[in-house]
Amino acid sequence: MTEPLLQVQDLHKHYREGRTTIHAVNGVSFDVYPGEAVGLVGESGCGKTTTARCILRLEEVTRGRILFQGTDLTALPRSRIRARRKDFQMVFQDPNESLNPRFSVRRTLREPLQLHGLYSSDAQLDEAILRVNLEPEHLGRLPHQLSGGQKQRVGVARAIMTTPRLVILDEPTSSLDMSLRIHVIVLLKRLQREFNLSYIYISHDLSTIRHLCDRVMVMYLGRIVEEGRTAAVFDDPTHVYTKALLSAIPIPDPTLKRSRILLKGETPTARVLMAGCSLQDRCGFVLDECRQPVPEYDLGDGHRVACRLAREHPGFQTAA
Amino acid sequence: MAEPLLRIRSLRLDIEDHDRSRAVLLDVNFDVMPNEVMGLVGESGSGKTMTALTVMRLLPPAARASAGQIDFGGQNLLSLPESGMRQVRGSKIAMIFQNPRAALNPLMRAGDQVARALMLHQGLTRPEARRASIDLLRHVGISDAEARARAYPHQLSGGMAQRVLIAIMLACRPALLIADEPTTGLDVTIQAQIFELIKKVQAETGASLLLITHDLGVVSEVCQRVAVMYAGQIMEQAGVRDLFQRPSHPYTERLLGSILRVDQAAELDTTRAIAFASIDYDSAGCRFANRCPDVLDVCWAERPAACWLGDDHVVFCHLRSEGQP
Repeated sequence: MTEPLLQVQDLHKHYREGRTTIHAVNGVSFDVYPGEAVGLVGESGCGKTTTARCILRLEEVTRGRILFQGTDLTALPRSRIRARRKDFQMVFQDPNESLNPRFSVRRTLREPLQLHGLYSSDAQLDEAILRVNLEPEHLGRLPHQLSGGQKQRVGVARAIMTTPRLVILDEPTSSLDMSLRIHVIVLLKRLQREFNLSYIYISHDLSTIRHLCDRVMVMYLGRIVEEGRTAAVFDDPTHVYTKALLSAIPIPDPTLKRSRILLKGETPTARVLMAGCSLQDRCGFVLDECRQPVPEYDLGDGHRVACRLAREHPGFQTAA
Repeated sequence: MAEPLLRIRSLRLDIEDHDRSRAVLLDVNFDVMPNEVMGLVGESGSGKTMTALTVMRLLPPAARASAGQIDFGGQNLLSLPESGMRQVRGSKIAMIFQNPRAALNPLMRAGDQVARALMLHQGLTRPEARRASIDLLRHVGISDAEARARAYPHQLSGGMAQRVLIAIMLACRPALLIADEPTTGLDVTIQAQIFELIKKVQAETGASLLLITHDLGVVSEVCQRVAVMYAGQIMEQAGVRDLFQRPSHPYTERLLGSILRVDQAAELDTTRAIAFASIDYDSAGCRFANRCPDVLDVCWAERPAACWLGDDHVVFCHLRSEGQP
């Protein structure tokens, strides 16, 4: 078995806010293997972006270890992190904020090469821009002279300039028209194959995750509540939260009759760390035991779920 | 067949940009029937929001409706004086927006905003309106309505603010409700709650709903009929089932081909999707011509005429009009 590229072990990230503590990430563990695309899905405030920022060491972790090719990134001094960033890169949500408006595309793409001593000639930039289906003529443009889709592709091109092993993508399609998502996903898949990249793809959009990722982890209130192979989780969701999330997505097929699991209310505050299942106050099927700590159930082939109902009362859905 | 509640004909909207003017809506025609949910679907730049703002006469100063008419309740809204339009806005046509918190008055408690609508549109006294506003907030699914009524908009989540707006709209008892991407920016599970609420409210009040969205999934689940817009023009209009089964405009086909379905794993095929290119607002013919895979010479020169494929299925495309009866 190959070694994991990245191992996240019992990651916690808490923020102080006055006298209260925000429990953003509460004990997240997962591995990412070389060449694998892993989806991290959840709604706002679930801790998915914080998890990514901890991996990149844009945030200091409260507790836990992040091993990249065996090295604990959380223990590395800041000066050493910078050199390692060549191997893990990020594509941000909003290209308008992540691209310097005064830098030409050429300068944006050249800079990571120069920082890591990899720059030899502008031919590298021509190659890089073609990789993301843009033309060398785009190198002379400033971000405001590009469309949203083009800007996002520049962001992708920049992230892979240093031929990283791992790219973290944070909602890269959320600023684009829906009809353009398919192009972004196809591009990412091609680059992944060409460069044997691993992806951590962060999104609330389950549709893109389904088509890009090999595995998916569903996060809610700072915890992974269900994980497994993408097909297993999407076709046979087990946690009430995953079921609700999937059933909430409108499907463009008017002939389909669907039943929907609606959750009650809204995501509660992360100021209080709940004992037991974090969904207990929104779940329509909640049992007394759900207020106790929830064990993680192994359903085989890496499919794991933290839901008592799913395991001990599999018929709950029909009973309700 | 019943008379339409809203009838838009040959609508043209020009926007001055520096010293040139651009038709952001061109020859827009569609009806909204009584008690129906009509969808207006399109990508950014399609003019769907501009269409709604034209109906509400809430246009930016640089915009001018230069042709066409909008018939509603026996009047052409485009020729109504502003004072007459005030009688229509809110009372007869109400609109909810993408960013609900921005649509609420930030200096006024949520409950007072609902109460004010009740006093204005239903003639209730202040104490009556206050009591009724709590009931309305409860009706739109706000738990702990008394406490929420005292909250200011910034203290509400996006989903909660949208519920307050729906309560205000209910207080106005409009005949037509326009919802412009009402769940954009909300979490998926909250989106589902809001759509369930909008459907419930529409069914209860018997109002018609014009739903503006970019999401064909939402169209499929909420609407009965739909108009597909691109670059300020209607490309195709049909009953929802018909549109999904028989998409007849190359744009509609490609819009459907761009969908990533969450319930199916499929090979992705970008050749069936919409190509990367910018919108051509200046085309003398069909504005989709520069992205259309099947473009003919005539598409660049002439606007396609309406081609009816059924009683309620119309497409504007030269490819279709050849076999026209």
